[in-house]
Amino acid sequence: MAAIELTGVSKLYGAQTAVQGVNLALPEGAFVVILGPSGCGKSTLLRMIAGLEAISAGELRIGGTRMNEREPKDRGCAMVFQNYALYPHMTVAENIAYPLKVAGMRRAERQARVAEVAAALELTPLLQRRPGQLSGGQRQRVAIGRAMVRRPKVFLYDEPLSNLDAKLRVQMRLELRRLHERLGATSVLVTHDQQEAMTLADHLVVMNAGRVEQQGTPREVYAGPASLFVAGFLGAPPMNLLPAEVLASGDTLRLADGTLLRLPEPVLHRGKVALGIRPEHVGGGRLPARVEMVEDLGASVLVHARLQGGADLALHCPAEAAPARGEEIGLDLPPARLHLFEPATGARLPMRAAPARRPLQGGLSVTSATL
Amino acid sequence: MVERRPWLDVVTHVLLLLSAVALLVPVWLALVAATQDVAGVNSVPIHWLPGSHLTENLAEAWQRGGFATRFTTSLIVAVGVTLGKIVLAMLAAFAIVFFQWRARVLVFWAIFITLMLPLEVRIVPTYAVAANALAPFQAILDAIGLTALIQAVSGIHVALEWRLLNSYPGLILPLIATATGTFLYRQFFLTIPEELVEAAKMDGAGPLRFLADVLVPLSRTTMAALATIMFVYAWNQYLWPLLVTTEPERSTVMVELSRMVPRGDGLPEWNIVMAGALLAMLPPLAVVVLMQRWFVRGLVQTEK
Repeated sequence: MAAIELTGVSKLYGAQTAVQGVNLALPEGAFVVILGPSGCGKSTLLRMIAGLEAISAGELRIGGTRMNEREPKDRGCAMVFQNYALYPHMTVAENIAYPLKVAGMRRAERQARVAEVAAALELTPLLQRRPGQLSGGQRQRVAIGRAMVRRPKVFLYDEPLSNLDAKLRVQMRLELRRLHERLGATSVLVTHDQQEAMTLADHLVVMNAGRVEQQGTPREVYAGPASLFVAGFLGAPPMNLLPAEVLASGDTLRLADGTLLRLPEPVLHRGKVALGIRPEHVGGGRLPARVEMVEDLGASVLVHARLQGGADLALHCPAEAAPARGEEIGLDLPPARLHLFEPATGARLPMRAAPARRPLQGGLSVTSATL
Repeated sequence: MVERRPWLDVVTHVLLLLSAVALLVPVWLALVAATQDVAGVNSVPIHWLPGSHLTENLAEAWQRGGFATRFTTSLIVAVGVTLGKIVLAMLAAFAIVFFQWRARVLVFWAIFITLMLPLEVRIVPTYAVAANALAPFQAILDAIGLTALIQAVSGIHVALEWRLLNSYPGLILPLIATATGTFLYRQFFLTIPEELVEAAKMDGAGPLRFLADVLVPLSRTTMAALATIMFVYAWNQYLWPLLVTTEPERSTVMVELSRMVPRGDGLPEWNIVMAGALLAMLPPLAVVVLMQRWFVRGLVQTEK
């Protein structure tokens, strides 16, 4: 059963639509990541689940119960905020205990719960400090502790890692994941960082302009982006997108410089398309290109090349065999790795060679179609 | 902004010094006068150095003004006004900042406009209300004919009356409404991050719980600043206590002090009056000195 179910959920601010008709069924116990650029409505969606924003249209169900009209505290959700939102005048222990205090729990019981949570998050030595005396990572843990202490069924994270420095972010990411495994609750995390999304998610939801663009396991979404937007947003560096044309036969592509590429399977579409290929899939071959820039990433190098006809192409090369700047190289675009998109709508053009949708695994890849 | 101009420094210091002197000379004169005997205080030219009669003048002033009861009255009024103002200002600002309601902007501007209507301007209607706080309701009942109706049906003539004259509520209540305090609190509440409000909501705290558990503790310095200003303001009130306390036994220190001023053919005992003035200055002085640290912090709001 889905832990959180959204049916046609919309949010309007006056005449402006922030979230438009979102249908989602978030599986129980999964780590769900909602990914999108800033202003795409992902935070609004999360806040609607939390009860901090009213739902303009549609229905929200948590654990099967309609929640639209419920107060935030009655929804069984706990939230971790971007800036932690700790009470500055309370000690760490008081901060963590506050939800229990409001709920009217006895002091002794409260202290036991706080001690338990603090031990789990390694906060025990800090319990008597105030938030102002803590580092960013410690504050983050306190905020998580305050969320954990009520033992909610759903954890909501609103860009929780964006205020941490890069190293700490990776570390906290692992901690979040570990915590999720241990608690067994459903987690929903909102982020604009695609790497964070890929590494954390069991179930990835990509949003753009108030709509869900695509959802599935991170692998599915990465390997088969449903639209130009997802293709360009997911992956660092992003997928290469080149202008191309499908010839009348339907199984041949012509690039801007006139090079012809054979598709593994004919497509119905004719005329202009956007051709996508990930940098790690570009191989060596006969397509002439000129190296414009080489970025050393340590493990490999990222080569920015320019094809004849002017299109830019990024590709990964092993660090030992890195080409020099200005060098002429030959490239290959393996047909099985190509993605085609309709340039006007951005929709993916189906090709059989693209990884077909595999059978659902463990109930994790629930799509809107199953609603 | 750091200015590096030596002549500007000199000018500012001279200006500050002059202001300080202008403020302190009257106080010094009062102090000197309070230490003279009747002859000394009336001598021409005036004395600039203190004499030796301070303690006896103070004792005489204290005794003659009945300051023991006057001080009690004044303290009750000043503390009552201060507390009332803080609570009212906090609740008003709380409603304006944290709730979305239709008349919010209207109410905000209404409070703003009362800045232009100090007590002195509305003293006559305020006095009328204090004379009978229920008079407006009586007027409403009369206007809609309810009084006549009740009299016709039961024979009882409805005449609502609640006299506030010569009472603590009469002294305190009209002074409690405060636009300044509401603004001070509003500015402070606007610095509270939205996330904190939402975190409290997620934790299950209702609005009043949030006010008591989060806003009140966080606004301690604002409260101290407001308390300092308002205590001094309430202590120094003269016009309203003069009007509302028709019995001398009920008057405040300030009213009593003005009664001590020699009139007509009376003995010009300015030394006693000045000793009384010195005594009347002590409580606000003590409050300012004690609260100074908090006061500055509350207005600057560097905390948090």
